[in-house]
Amino acid sequence: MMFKFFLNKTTGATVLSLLLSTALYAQAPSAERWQAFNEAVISQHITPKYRQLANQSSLLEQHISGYCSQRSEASLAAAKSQFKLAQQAWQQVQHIQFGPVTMLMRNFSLQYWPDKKNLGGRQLNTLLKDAQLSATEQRYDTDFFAAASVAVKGYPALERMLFDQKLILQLPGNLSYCPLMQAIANHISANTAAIVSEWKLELTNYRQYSEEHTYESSMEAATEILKALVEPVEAISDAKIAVPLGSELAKMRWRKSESWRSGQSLENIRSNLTALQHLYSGVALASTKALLIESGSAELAEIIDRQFSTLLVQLKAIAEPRNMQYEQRQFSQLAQVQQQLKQLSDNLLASMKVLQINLGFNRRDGD
Amino acid sequence: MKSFSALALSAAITMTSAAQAATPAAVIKHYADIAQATFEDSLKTARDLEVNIAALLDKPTEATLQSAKNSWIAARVPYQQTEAYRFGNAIVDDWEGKVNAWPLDEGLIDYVDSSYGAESDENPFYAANVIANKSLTIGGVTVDATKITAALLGEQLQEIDEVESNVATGYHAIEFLLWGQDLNGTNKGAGNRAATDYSLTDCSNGNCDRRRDYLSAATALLVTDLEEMATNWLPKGAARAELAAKGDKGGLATILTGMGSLSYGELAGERIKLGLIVHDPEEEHDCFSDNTHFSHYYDALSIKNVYTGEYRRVDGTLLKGPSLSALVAAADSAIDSKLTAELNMTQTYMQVMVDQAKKGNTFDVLIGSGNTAGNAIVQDVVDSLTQQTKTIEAAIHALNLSDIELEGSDSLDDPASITAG
Repeated sequence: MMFKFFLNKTTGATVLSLLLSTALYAQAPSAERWQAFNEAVISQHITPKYRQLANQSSLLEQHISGYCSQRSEASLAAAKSQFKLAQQAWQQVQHIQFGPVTMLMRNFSLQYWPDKKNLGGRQLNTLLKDAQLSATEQRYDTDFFAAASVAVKGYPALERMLFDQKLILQLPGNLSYCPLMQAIANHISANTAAIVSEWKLELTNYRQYSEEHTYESSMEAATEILKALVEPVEAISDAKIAVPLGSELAKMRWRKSESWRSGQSLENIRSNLTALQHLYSGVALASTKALLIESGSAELAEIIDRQFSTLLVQLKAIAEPRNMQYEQRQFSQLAQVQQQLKQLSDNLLASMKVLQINLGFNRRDGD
Repeated sequence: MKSFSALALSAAITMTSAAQAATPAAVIKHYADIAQATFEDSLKTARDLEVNIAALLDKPTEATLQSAKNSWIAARVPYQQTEAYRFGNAIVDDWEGKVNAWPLDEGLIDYVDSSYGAESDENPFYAANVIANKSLTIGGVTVDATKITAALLGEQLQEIDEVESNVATGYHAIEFLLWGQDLNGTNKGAGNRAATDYSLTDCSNGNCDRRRDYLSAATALLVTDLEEMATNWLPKGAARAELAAKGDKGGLATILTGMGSLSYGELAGERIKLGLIVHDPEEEHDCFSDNTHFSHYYDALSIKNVYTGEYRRVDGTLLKGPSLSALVAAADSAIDSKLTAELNMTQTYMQVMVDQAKKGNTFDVLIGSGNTAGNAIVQDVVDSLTQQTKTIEAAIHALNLSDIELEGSDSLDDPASITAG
């Protein structure tokens, strides 16, 4: 039922023919090269980016505590700007949907979005109202978070509590507002720190491959990583741009965009694409791009890299909408970005054929 | 990568040597035959629903309301078994929203409880209440709703303002009109609309005449829409032509695409796991009637039907013919055994959910926050569907269809755009 208004098909005909001409000489990467790829991605991409996330989230916890212990315009502004940094650090790892982040549904807990039924808003309101009516002090402890909905324990919940002007009006009168906000920040901080430490154990999954282990081969392990490269591109195009933009200017609904409350909807996409390009070509020695070139598809490899760069330049030129609305010119610019993301997605899918990788079904199928 | 060799093909033929040999062409034809039967059964049971709704409107009593509800539940049995045809067959997927769109903001249609709220970030028509309002002016759009007709529902209100949750037609709109909102949260109990909501002499909640018109129009539209799809699957129908145009490999890939997409992204993800992680009854597929367990059960059965080539019709007869299972077995018998076992295992876990519902522990209760045992029952279903999807992928590789799947499927990764239109 989703995305029903994407009616027109574009084809990657040029890319396909390009692919056919090189495919004859193509040689898929060896098990050793896939292993080098896995190790390079983990050490140069996954590990540092999760460290950054844990650091920024720990700082966010401190800033929110700072604001709650001494409320002022300045301490609120500091908490808000630290929130933005933490959110961007999250956007840099949002594509990684395997390993420790999937444990205990942390991926959903850290960010439940899109929230089409406004669950985050309704559930936060209920929590705050219950806290006010309750005679005893609310405890936002481990048990609370174990039972709570994912919609109230991640970055979007904090974004509402910091940026939603109606919601934050409740703060002075509701003794649970700050404790809940601090508890969520603490929960996020602990979760991201746990991901960092658990990746050390996760490395064993990349040392031995067999039917008894997590992955049967280095290529299967690499397939998970490549899913994280390829699948988000179309998801970004659809959910983060096409849906909030609508089919024409009059139908624009920016409240459907990802982080409109903090005014970071486009900044998120820039972070996503920066991280994806890093995963594609920024990893030294055995990047996806390097493997594509080794497999005889240097031209396609270069096109994809250039598309990432072009998209980032174009996105940099577009500002977040003022009062949630664009002029026709900006609308068209962003619609063009959306189109180009589709082409990038097609090219990435084509590159998987060169590498002889089958991505399989993904969780967005059926939308 | 294994190749689907001529040897494997001939093995497939030898194994099922009798009258119905499992050749790709025979499997695809039988797949279409099951589609025809399932949509015909959906149409038949929708007509029964229409008869019972006419009886309700003729004489609105708790008894006639209950009969209408029973026939709605019965109509869901064959319809949910069509869902494996949705992904992969564009003709079905493009049409599906008219009859089974979900979730819906029911405030568009009729009165709602105050806890529903008056507005939504996402939807300007969130509480438009067309039954109570003959004219709607929202966000600069004016809708003349003086007369409630099928055209008003299907052509104007459905997905109005490009908001997906503006669902004005189909099973779930009718479900809301029969049951009303379920105000029990994650506690036991379904919607509890009074039959007098349809009474012209003793009208409850106002606008009974318009509510009657709405229910009639929505039901007539459901029948019309199902007629269209049943016709598409007749021997010379458009759905069969679309399928045939893909060739043998494309046809087989279509079957497996439908199985995998329904198993994983749609059923395990969107319809089940989402509810589990947000613990919210709003994320329940049949949230008014609390019939969600059966909707999921028959969805899963649909996946099994198209694999085993068997469908039990509503009149009890068994439709059986050349199966995809036999083709996969010929290529790699281990994968076929595994997939068959996993499809059966999913039915077992689904049955646990159905049994719980009989005790009052319906899906909205099971996903409740802190209901550890209930959550675990639902998680078992998700895990089983996820596991079978992996084996469906293995079957795609075994039949050497991996390339076809990506090029031939509209519903998987449709490279489409918003602005080119």
